[in-house]
Amino acid sequence: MINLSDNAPVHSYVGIGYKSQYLSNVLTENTDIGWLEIHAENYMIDGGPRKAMMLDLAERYPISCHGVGLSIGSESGINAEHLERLRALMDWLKPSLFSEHLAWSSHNAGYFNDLLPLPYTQDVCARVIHHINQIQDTLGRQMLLENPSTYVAFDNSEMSEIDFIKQITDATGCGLLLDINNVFVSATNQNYNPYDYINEYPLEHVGEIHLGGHDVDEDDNGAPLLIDSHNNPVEDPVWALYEHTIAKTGIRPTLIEWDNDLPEWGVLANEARLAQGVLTKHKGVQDAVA
Amino acid sequence: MQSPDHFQTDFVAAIMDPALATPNHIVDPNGNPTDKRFNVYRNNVISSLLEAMSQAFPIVEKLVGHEFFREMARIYIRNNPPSSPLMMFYGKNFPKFIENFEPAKSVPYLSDIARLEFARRVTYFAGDASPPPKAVLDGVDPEKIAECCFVLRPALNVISSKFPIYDIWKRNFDDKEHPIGKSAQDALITRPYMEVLVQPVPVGTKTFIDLLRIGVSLGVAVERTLEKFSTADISQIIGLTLPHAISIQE
Repeated sequence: MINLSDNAPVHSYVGIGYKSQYLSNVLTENTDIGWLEIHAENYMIDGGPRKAMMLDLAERYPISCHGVGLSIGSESGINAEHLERLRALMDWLKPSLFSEHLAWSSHNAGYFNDLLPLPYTQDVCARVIHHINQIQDTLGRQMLLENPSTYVAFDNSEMSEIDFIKQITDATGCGLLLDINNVFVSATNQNYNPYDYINEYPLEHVGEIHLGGHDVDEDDNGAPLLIDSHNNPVEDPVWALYEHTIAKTGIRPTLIEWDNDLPEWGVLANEARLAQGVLTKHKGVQDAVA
Repeated sequence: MQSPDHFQTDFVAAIMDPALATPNHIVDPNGNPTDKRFNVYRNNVISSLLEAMSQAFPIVEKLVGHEFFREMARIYIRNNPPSSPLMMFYGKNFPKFIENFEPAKSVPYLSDIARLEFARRVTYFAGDASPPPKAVLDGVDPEKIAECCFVLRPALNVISSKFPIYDIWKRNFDDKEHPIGKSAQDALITRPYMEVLVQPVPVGTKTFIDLLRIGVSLGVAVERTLEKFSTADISQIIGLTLPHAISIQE
């Protein structure tokens, strides 16, 4: 399990998004990496080297299982076959954490391999609640729901993202995966203050934090449009927002998420060290106060 | 639970067809219409699927070149979006699609290369043999072997081709000037341990293995393979196949 006891060393809270390119590093180096996160769908396989490798890694590291394909906001319902595959994966992987996205990616028979946006209406909220209940009941465990990066708004939204998320946690008892980069990306794209978002967020439910990089583009009118690309180091304003968040939540399991244009191991390990630095600094302040 | 305006139906239609307008309700933070913001999703979906196709079919891409491959894959994607979130198995219908794709007709073996690449991938992720294949023939009464049915390991696939498909694949996979023969080849794709192996096998092997897979006896499989391929080297085919048997039913 990811050790959340008071006396766990701070570095053990920082994990990385695992890719097979880093296998020898996580096996042989004294990395100080506390845990690994994988994309659930990549391991929904019957056998072979990838599964054998993961069984081995799961003996050495706590594993966080991050789903990308459940399509929780789908109008056409949760795919029962896919949910069953997820249950089977949980059975052999026994992950410490399980998370999924506030988004949709499947519609009827099609899967679109991206995290698509939802209007924040009462109807959609009821649908998401229904699906999360179904998932938690099937898996027999709590899931963490991740806040999205969004690029568009909806003229039929009836409430803020935070009110939408609060209704979901109240109704389902699910936890939250707070992606700080997503907060920054969405706040920039939707023109609100990311610190206000964090200050209003139901932080008591946060069981995991994500940090990642983004790209910069602009919209039809030249306004900045940030893209959640996971192919860059974490940007300075995102680190600052993370420090602000940790000061409020206390130490939380934190993941460096880098999915595209993978860097050398040293670059990724350095990002992890920076996150460890923030947690260590917070612990120092906490201890001084105590 | 359906939202009344079937918003997601319109959304995915517009994602897959760039000629369609940005769907209703989508605005920028000031409430104004925005195409460029919606296009982020269009681009994410199509480029991630193109990337998945490139990863799945590197030799096809090498044979036709990057630009041609992207255009062919783009048409495939628009007509065959994934049907499951398991992206490692996306592209199952690509070989068939290539067969009917007019601009690729000048490379007549292209669809078989795609078939071979997809079979390698399926074999890589297939179930581990349990118990592992061993000398299952030991202890079988030779008099009765023709009546036995053999269960083959999951990590075994075979493709057949009118072309020397193994030779063509191997030359491009290794990027070396291996000689390419003139005769048709079947290619056997297996994973005896952790590595996927591809080997050239006699014509008729696919027919033989397909018959064993549907549960007919060895004798019947031999007979029907020879009916279809009278000159097939049946003893070699048996010799190549049976080491992959994981159980036997007499």
